[in-house]
Parts: sequence; structure tokens; C-alpha cells
Amino acid sequence: MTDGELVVLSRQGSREAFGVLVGRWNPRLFRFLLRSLGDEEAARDTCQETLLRAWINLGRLREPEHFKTWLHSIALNLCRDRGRRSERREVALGDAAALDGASVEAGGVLRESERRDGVLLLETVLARLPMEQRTAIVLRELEGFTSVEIAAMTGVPAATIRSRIYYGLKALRRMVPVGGGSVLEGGTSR
Amino acid sequence: MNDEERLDHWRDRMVAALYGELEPAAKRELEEALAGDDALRRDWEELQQARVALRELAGGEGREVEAPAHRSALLWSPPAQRGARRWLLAGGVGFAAAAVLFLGLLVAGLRVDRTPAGLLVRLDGSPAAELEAATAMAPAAGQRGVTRAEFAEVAQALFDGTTARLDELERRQTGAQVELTQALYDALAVRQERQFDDLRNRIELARANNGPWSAGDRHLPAARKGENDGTD
Repeated sequence: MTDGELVVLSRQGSREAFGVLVGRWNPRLFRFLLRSLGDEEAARDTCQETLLRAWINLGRLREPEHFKTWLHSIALNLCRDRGRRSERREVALGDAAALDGASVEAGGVLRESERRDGVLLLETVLARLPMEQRTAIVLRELEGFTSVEIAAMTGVPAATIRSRIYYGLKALRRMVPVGGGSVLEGGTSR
Repeated sequence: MNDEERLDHWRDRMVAALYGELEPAAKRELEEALAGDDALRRDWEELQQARVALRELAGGEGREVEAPAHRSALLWSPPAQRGARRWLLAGGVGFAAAAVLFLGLLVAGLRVDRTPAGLLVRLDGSPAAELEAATAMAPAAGQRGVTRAEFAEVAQALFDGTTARLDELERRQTGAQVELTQALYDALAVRQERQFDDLRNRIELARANNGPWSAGDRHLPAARKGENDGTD
């Protein structure tokens, strides 16, 4: 059954139909959020809130076949809200990241402590990118949305999305070499 | 087009080409530009390498991350959605409208008689056409009128039954939504509280390690690793 058919049934009150949609998209949505937010707990919270909002607002979805894009749009908005909240907190309390003794700037040297069991994590690398570049790359490269679809989701021109992808990929290239996953010792951050 | 604009143009084209979003003509144009510009070609190769690196990382992550189950009993017995609420609202409005109509009909001379097929509704003494046949088939049944008390009893039972059903639906659906929302916000509140505690502790630790902190300082003083934080 297609997403569109399941959305129609869900709107008619079928919890089973919405359950199928959730089962279908929950893992991918969570993976997207994990890579966008870089924090497992935040991703879980946001994933749950995204699905809750999707259920509540299902009646507003104009094109049921575009459920996937719509679902990711909700998730993106929640990510942005979360980003704004954390920015406000940091402005109010000072640069909390300085307390970690770790740089958060894009392109900086990745430390050994940022690996788990010796393996460089994708989320760790992505977390070093500015939110907008990270989101564009995750949606295009890892989730398979076109730049036009991402533009529709985010409300910015497709050319801007491609520009974000360009700079994000360039920063990633500086951080991670091809093959082996070892850390490049270039581009100090301070 | 100045140099910066020209670069932006090719960067845009390269990303589009990277993901197969470029029209054939534009692709040929890009290929020609790449062939004649070393810097541009290096840029293009770097983008391709970045994609390879990204895919290697995506394919070789050190752990499997499990998607949240969402306490399936909560979310996927989902709360009332707007459509259902609209239905409830429509039901309530419909019931009120029916009650007004019913009162109007009573004033206009509505009568209800008992028949084997159920109750026979008459308006101003005339039986409803579809029930006329039923009455004709069982002529004796229509002869005894329904008392006012019986009529009131039936109407009351109908009203009570419908109201109870609507209340039950609303209670069940609203209850699930309240439960879910409560659980969600409880979890968020606990997490937020923990983050603030953590931050407060780190600020205190940094103060203890580095002396007083002026409110005008841009950055909090960095904690020295291993001091007073329980690590060796």
C-alpha cells in the first residue's frame, strides 16, 4: 500500500494505517535526526515529537503521496527550533562549548576522543558542520531528496541548497580522507 | 559575470552534476569547463572524494543505532486527530440540530405509535409513507398508541445512549492524547533539567578552577581537565 493510501486511511481514523506509516518511516526519520542533531537523545525526542505532530496535523497534508517530504519538513522545523533554543541558551550563559575543551568549528582537527572503538562516526563528522550545511548534506546525500525537494522543505532556493552542499562537502573533505577513516591533521580551529 | 559569480555558477553546476540533477546540455558545458580549468577540476575531484568519504563513513559506522520504539502503546494507539475531533464536533452539532427539529416536530403535532416494525412516526396524524405498509400488514399493532411516558422514555434512552457514546469516544481519544502529551513533555522537562544541572555544575567547576568570572567575559573560563572532576 502506498504512503498516500495509508494517509487517506489514517485520516479516516485508522490507527493501523498510521502505524504502518510509522513503521515504514520511523527508522529513516530517526537516522536523519541523529545525523542532523548529532545527539541520540535529542534525536529520539524530536523523532517522537515529529510523529506526534504528523498525526495531529495529518488533515493539513495536501498531497498524501508526499508524506515522506512532509514528515521530514516537520522534523526540520523541530530541528531549527531546537537549534534556536540552544543558541539562546549559549548566548545567555556564555560559550558552554569552551568548557569542553573541544572545538566545534567546522574543518577543525578531529580528536581521538571523537571516535568510538577506533571508528570515526559519521555523526561526529557531520556534527562539525554548521547546521544548514549538515542538513542539506544529510537530506541530499544520505536521504536521497533532490535539491528542489530540499528547497521546498526548507523554504530557501535550490541554488542556496546546492551552495550549502558544496561548502559542506569541501569542509568534510578537509576533515576526512578517502579510505581508512583516519583523521586529517589540517585546519586548526583557533 | 565577475570571477566570484563565475565560481558560484560552476559550483552550483558541479553539485547538480554530482547528484545527477543537471540537464544534458548543461552537463556538456560543465565538462568543457572542467577540461579547460585545472583549479575547477581539482574542486570537482575534491567534491567527489568527499562523497566517497561520506559514503564510507555511512556504510562503516561502528554501531547500529536502533530507532526509538516510541512506547508503541502510546503513540501508535494515537490520540484523537483533528478529523476525529471534527467528527465529534459534527456529532454534537448534529445532535443539537436533531433535538431542535424534534422539539419543532412535537409542537407541529408529532405522534409516535408502536408497530411490529418498530415505532411509527406520524406528523399531524399522517403516517410516514414508508411505514404505512408496515402498519397495513399488522393492522392491530398500530391501534394502541404510545403513552407520553413511553415516548419520553424512548426519547430519553435515545438521548442518553447517544450522549454516553459521544462522551465515551471523546474520553477515550482525549485521554490517549493527554497521556501521550504528558509523557512527552515530562520526558522533555526531565532532560532539560538534567542539561541545566550539568551546565551549572560545569560552570561551578570552572569557577572553582579558575577564580571568579566576570559577567562581561565573552567565554567562561575553561575547566582544566582532570581537576576536581573526578577523573585522573
